[in-house]
Amino acid sequence: MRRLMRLALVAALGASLSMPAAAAAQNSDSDQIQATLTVIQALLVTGTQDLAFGTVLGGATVTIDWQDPLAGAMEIDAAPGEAIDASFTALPNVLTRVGGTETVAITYTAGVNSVNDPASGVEITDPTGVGVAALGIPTTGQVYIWIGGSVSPSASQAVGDYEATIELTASYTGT
Amino acid sequence: MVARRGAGGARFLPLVLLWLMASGAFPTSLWGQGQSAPRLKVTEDMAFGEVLAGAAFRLDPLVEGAGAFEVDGSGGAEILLAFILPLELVGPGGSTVPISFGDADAILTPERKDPESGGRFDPRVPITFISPNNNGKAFVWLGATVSPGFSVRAGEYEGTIVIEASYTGN
Repeated sequence: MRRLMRLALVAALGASLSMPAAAAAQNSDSDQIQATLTVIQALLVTGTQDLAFGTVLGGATVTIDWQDPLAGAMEIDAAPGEAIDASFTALPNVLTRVGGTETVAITYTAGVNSVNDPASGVEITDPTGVGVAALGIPTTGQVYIWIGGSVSPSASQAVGDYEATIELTASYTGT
Repeated sequence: MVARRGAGGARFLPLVLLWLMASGAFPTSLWGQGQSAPRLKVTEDMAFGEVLAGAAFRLDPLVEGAGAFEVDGSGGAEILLAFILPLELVGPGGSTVPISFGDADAILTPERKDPESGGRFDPRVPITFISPNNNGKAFVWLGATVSPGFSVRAGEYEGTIVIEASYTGN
């Protein structure tokens, strides 16, 4: 009887030591998945200066060149090294009198540079579409665009303030 | 004389019993589980690719870039599958991007590697399934949503998803 008790005790001890360890070792497995993401800086287009002709006499023509300090200015902030495209999604061919319907025709010139210096910039031959070719791949992440224009109000033009909104839209080409 | 022989045999019985237990000779019910462990094999990491700052992006488990792994278990055994999911991916200078998982962001298919035929489940909640009898394999795909803030630093971000598979004993 005493031997049997000892036997039972040893067996129970063996079971309590061995079974959980064996079960834990055999019953489960784990592994890992790596999640990766590349964040691209958002494109930001900012109008930094309006194109302002000031006071113009009826019958006169006023031109502001894109390299003129009075030219309209825009800045694009993008991820360095990412090709971008941009275009003037709103480039109205008339200015409209505030509070009225009378209009004054306007034509544009524009230029672009990777540094904030119009004097060393490149003219955009067709301002209605800036295009990826003109913008290239900005290594610094900044692109500067200037826009000038020419207005010729008629001699009988209704006096008042005339305005229009120019809009530039930029996007990554994904290439 | 007879009694002495009996006492001598009993002396070795504990050792014999322990050897039998260690060798697996006892019925599986005594061990609780007799199968070898379910095996996990990651086949695809989760790759979101390029995402614009300020734009949330959901990677569906059906599309390229979803994480994928296989579970190889004993046919007919019930397996518990659980994930330890990150709350954010870590990038340049310790900058973080939140990552979240929804109730349809994981797909499981038994037997066949065909996500289109699988059932969706919520990876935030452990699930159980029966390991297929014919090949013991199950396939899992995992998606998620990342939400980089507009002003988050550009660059590479990463995080770790831990998968755990175990037999339930059922």
